[in-house]
Amino acid sequence: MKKKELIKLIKTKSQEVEIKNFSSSILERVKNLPHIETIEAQKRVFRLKPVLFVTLGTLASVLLLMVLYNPASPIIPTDPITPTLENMDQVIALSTVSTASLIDLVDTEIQASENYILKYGNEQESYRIDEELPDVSKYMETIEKLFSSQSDFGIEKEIISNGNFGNRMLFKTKDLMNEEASYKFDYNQTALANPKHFELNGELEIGEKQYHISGLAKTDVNELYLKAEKDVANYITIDYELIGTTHQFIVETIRDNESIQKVSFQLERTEENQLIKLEFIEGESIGSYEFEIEVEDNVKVIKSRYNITTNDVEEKGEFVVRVITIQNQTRYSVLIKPEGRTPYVIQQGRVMTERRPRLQTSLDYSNL
Amino acid sequence: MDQINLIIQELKTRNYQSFDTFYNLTKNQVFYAIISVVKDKDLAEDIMQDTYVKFLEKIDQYKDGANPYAYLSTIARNLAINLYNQRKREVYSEEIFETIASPEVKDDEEDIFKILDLLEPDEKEVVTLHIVNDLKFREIAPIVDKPLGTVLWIYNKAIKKLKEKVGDIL
Repeated sequence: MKKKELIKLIKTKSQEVEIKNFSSSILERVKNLPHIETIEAQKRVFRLKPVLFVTLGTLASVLLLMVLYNPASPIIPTDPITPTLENMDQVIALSTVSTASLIDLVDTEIQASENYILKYGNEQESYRIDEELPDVSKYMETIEKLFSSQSDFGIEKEIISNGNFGNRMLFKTKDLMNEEASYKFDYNQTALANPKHFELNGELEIGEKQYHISGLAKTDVNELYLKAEKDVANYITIDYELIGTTHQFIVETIRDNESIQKVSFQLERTEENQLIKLEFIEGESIGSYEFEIEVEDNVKVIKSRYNITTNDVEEKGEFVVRVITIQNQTRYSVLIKPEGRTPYVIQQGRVMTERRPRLQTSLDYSNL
Repeated sequence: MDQINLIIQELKTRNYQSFDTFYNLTKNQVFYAIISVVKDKDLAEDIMQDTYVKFLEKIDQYKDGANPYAYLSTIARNLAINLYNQRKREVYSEEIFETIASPEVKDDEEDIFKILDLLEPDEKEVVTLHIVNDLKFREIAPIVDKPLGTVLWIYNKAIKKLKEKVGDIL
């Protein structure tokens, strides 16, 4: 059963229970109570100045990449003797990469008013996909790096003795432009009462940025939970589980202690093919997307099929994502092919975590 | 929510004309905050009444702008825990402890109770407060006196469990 169905079922079933009306007897009791006047002294009100969070989206992307997997062996050993990261390194690497890119998502929401949209050509019909693409693009960095990197992220590990941590993991990713990014994760792992469960605590460093990452791994049931914090109220969580041969990550972005977006990220790999599914579970976007990588004229492109159903109206189609360079800046050029409609192009800002000074997003529309 | 807040303003002036509406708008949240602790429906109904009486008695302490569902859920839960502990001691002495919180699922039990019975007590509370009572996780954390991260972890664990097991009982 899917989570949405489960939640709907619980809500429905909870409404089926008949709850008696006791309002009369309650009021009868209350009317007999003595009335006590209370006077509250006026309290001084403190207001916190709103803070822009520049890093939450980045962190989420890194976390997701940290959780992704090694096709040659299970992400998490099914029966480890002692707690170890040895076989879940790729999972953790993928998770952290994903989280780091998503940690800036919080900014994406806050800075929405700073974004600008440029439209060219004839007035076009409005499509739901246009509204969702900025949300989808938040996960494009992870998708790019998943499709383009070595499956083991070139992980190197070493024991360190300086500072607060005892272990170091170095790993690298590549993107569609074949550009490399380096990550350093210093961490401790603490065994729990169950020898197959352990806690993770560490610092992830990407360029000059650092993120605190904590988590819990249960190797006996193939579960991993990671949390990457911008601060105590702004963070990304990734809940990993292996379902059959599918690696599923539930990625949730929390801003000011409120969930602003939750997605399911599924990865299926075979010897011939690699498929990534992205489904928006909570938040404003609701669509489902399937991504595959292809090579066209010696250039890597990412193709996606999408389905957005709202109020029983189904919008579906395909789009092709290419990375283009304009004035030394890379952008996504997205060719959208809505089913039964005229194709068109959207350009979307693209800045990788490791080169992201601040969030950049803009949309340029042009007819084909 | 606006309607509830308007009624609360009336209730603060001891005007109970709209209490019946208030009760109907909030009874589900109160009931489920209690039932996630005590399980017994009759006992839950007793505690429901106590919850509203206490709410009205202390209504001056209700701060405008607070979430009334969270506020009522907190009162309901506290009363439920107090009464549960009290009854547990009494019944335990009579060696019929199981009648308070029987773990068996009865055939004639409503489906929602069969579903919630699949969960551990802490999971049941978090799921009930989030899904049925529509409270945010940051509102649930102080109610159950657990850090937000723990609440999220409990919730995810519970959902995972339910996804696997609900099909077997319904």
